[in-house]
Amino acid sequence: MKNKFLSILFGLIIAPIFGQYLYVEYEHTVNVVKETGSFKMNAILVAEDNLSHYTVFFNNDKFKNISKVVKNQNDESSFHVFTSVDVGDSSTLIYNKIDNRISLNLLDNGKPIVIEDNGVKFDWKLSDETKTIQNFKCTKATVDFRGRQYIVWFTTDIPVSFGPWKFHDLPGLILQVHDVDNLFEWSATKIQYPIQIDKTLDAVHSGANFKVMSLRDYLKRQSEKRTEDEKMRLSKLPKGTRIVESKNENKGIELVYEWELDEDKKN
Amino acid sequence: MKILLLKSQKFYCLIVLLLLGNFMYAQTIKGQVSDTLKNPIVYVNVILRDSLNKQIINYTTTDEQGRYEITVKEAGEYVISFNALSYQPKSEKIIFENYNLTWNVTLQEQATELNEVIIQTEKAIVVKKDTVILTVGAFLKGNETTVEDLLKNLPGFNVAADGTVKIGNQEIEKVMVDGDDFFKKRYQLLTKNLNADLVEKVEIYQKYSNNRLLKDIEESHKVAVNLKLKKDRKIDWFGNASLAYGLTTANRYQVRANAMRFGEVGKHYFLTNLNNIGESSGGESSIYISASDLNEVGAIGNREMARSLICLDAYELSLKKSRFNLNNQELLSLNSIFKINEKIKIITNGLFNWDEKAFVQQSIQNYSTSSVSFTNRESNQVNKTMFSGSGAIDFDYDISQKELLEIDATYKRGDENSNSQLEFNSVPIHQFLSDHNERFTYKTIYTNKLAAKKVLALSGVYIYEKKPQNYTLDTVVFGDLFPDVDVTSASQFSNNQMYFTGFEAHLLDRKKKDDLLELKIGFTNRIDFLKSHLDLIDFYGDEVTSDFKNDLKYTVGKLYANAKYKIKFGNYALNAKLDFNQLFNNFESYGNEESQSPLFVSPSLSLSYEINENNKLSLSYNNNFTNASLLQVFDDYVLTNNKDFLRGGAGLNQVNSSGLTLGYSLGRWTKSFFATARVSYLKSHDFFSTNTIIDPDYTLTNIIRINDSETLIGDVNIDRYLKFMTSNLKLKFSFFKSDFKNSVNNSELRLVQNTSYEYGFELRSAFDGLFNYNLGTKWNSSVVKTTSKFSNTNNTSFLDLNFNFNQNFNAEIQSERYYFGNFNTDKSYYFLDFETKYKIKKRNVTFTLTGKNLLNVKTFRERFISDIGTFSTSYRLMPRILLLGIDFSF
Repeated sequence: MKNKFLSILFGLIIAPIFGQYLYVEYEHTVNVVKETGSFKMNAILVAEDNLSHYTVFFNNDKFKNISKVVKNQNDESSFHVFTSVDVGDSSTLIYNKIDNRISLNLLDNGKPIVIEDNGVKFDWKLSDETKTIQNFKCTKATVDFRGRQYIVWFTTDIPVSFGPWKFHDLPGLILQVHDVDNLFEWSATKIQYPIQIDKTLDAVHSGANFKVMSLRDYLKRQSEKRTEDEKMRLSKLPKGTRIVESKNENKGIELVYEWELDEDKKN
Repeated sequence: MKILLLKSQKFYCLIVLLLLGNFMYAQTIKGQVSDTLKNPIVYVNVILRDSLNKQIINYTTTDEQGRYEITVKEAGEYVISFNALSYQPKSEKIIFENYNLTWNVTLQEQATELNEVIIQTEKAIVVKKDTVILTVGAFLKGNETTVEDLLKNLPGFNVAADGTVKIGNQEIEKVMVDGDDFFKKRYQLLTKNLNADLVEKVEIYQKYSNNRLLKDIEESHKVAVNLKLKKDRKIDWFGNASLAYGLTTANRYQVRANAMRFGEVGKHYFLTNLNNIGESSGGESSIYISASDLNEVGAIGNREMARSLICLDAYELSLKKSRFNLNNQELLSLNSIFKINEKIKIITNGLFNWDEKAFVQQSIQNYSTSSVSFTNRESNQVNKTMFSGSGAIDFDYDISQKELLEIDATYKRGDENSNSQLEFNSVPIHQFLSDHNERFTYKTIYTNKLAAKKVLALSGVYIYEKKPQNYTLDTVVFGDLFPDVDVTSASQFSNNQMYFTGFEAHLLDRKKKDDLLELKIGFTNRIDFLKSHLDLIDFYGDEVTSDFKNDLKYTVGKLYANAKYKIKFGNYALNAKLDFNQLFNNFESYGNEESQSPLFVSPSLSLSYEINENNKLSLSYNNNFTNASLLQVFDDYVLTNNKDFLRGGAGLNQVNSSGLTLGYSLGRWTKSFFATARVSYLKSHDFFSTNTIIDPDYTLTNIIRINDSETLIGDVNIDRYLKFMTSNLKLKFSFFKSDFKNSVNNSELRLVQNTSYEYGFELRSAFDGLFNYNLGTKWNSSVVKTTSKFSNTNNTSFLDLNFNFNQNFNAEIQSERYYFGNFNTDKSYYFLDFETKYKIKKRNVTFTLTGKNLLNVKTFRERFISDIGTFSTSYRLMPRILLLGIDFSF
């Protein structure tokens, strides 16, 4: 009884300040050929029981600074969690397991916005294939998600149901993901537990003024803008060039959306 | 009875089981997970595996109260495990039968610490720097026949209507097959013909360098593509063909065919093109168009060529070439690559081209200067037969990781015979010109990588070329020039023979922060021989050699060194270059010899400043010395057509000029507003001009070197996308003004002022669906002012309409109008063309119907102005053609 009381007290006083968090660094490779060619980005996943923050860094120096602080965790310093709508250098995707909500912040025409992608479901197919990554025994799982087929390696040795980007809901941490076309790839490069941070993870984006919109609305707006841009480009072609066909193809991570499929069915 | 009941119950159960399948057993295991203090643990991973603890059957996590519920479909033995961070994992064997099971667990707390750095051993994709490898299978959509179709489906690729392949906005440099390059920049031949299902992988090289040792050191924006073929599909011959034949006109045709065979050791690509519809197949010039950029490694000698003095059919019209190219062409191209071993590769190319051309023209030449004024009338029909053949062999030797050796040898020869029926001021003249040319080029490039970012390239080149010409005239009008002879006819032999040797050492050193230092040192020697003599035949048939003859040797030796430095700081980029040239000129003619060895230093500098995303400013200055070429130094007159004579005679000399260019761009091409403006000012401190004696029956032109001329050029281009009409508006304005001096009929030097303006607009739509348009108009007005003043005002307009009925069926109509304001009659010409394509995807067959010059315009007249008069010339055009064609693969 006394023990229990103590532990509650302990919990109340200490827990909000020194939560125990899982820290994972990922390397995200994009092989879609554009002017930029293939490129790599670093990302950090910070997770507690029901919440994860997955932050992609566009500014590598910033990533390195955080990574360095975490490595020397024995010193007193703790690092800031990227919950505020601090965009330009990084973008944070918050996954809230309780009500299955995903929100992510980015710059839209130079203005910070938060996009909500709620109710995302991964229909994982588990395989009996296993492999060892470092010391972790990993199990293979596959999923068809928004037009791409992904192969995922997760480890039950780290019993959380988080992963990079939007991936979640496997019985273990996701260490590697790639799609069958090898255009997108995520690999864990560093795992640390526990780490301490100076405040609890925010359940939603906070900070500066920003607009919140659903992914569906955002995409609709983007698509309208893209079509207009494409028309503009085509109209600038020199004389003699013929436009036989012009399609605006989505070469991003997500190719089709559930609601588009629903609309197709209706038609 | 009881047994029976049981039996029937069992039977009933079995039926239900069969009907409902596994749903019958869709039972659950549920329970609560708590710690040793009986506190619930949230978000514990609960995993159900098979009895061997291998395959995961199902999984879930505990909720806020530590409770879980997991579905099981079949009865049997399972292993259930509970995992949570900071707790000891627990696995237990359970036997699950046909009822719900409650399974509560207590987990022991455990200090967990993870500190793992994962080193990646195996990579799913091979991503080398600047190289992307795509496995083709993943992108196939099933409708691809050629590599071009395949590339269209790859992410980031754009294939334009003419076959130009782009990645992003960057046009690719070449398309290789298993690392071998058949066609260099003419890769369309390959991409439009090679079958897609032969390709296994596509590799994309960015910042590509033709020489692998120069990679990341030279300044490169090139992109190259390599097609990796499937191992089992390489041996057979394959290809395609397209045939088109005239419907209304007799015997108009176009035939194109390709055949290929890709073996492990030898690769072959054969191509042929036959047509008499005015199309050029690209085979007229040499096989490889050498890099125009003379700053590239190994570019030494690329622009050296001998000169022919006479050309009876040289004219440029404002019309597109296929309208007036009255041809009958046959082209054959044979290309092979042999891999001798891992390090040695030999590439051979053969190109054969036969052509028959016809040119028919009539002109009225109004000469008007302060001293003379007259009109000449001319009508001319030229029939020309041509043959050219060339063979090239490339030898590539990969000596080691750091050394490369490349040896190229090319031999080309050709013959042209022109037969001309000329009527000059009612005097009929029959001209005959026989042209022969031979060229041999040998080049060796040795590249050595001295350090990680430093490369030394040594190039050596030898070129030999000769262009002899035999020209005969059965009647001459320039007899007054030779009062001692009663000239009736004449013939001229001329030959320019050129020997060029050169050596160059080129060092590229990429510094820290990406600055680039380039140093070049070289020596070149060019020897030109010019022999010419004009023979006159008098009334009695006797041949008299005139004084118009040359026999000379002109040698230009050049020792040069140049240094170039490219540096970037912040928004500024600076390019500085310094050139040192030590010339050794020698001129020998009929025993006279003259020598000269001047030294020149010329600097150039360019600065660009990116003020911000939308504003860019650039400024450049350069200074150039140009040495007199053969055409400026030869001694005595040479006949260049039936009545015009040319003489160099400027002596051993150089001319010097300086230029200053200021550029500004506002907005960006990808945005709805984009504008560029540029002003250039060129000052020639000295330049080569002419002193011309003009007579109705002849002209004698002498090259003279005089001082000071100025040129000012300006242009403004504006692009504005008009959203309300889904169209882009282009506005163009350009301005040209030049002042120079020349002399006519031994007059004092007179000032010639050329001024011209051009302005116009274009509008192009980008509608969805069936219809699109592109229209535009352009006005050009120019004035030449000397003692007299001539002016010209012309207009060109066009309207193109495009129809895409569906993916397999499209059509295009093009119309053009040319307007010449200074003609009194026949001021306008109208042209109409159309093309339609219908593709049968399943059979890989495309039908085409093409109509050219539908209004059947027979002749086209243009007006030109110069400082000595106005000229109007009319040409015969390719008549109306209607072609029905079919394309297919084999």
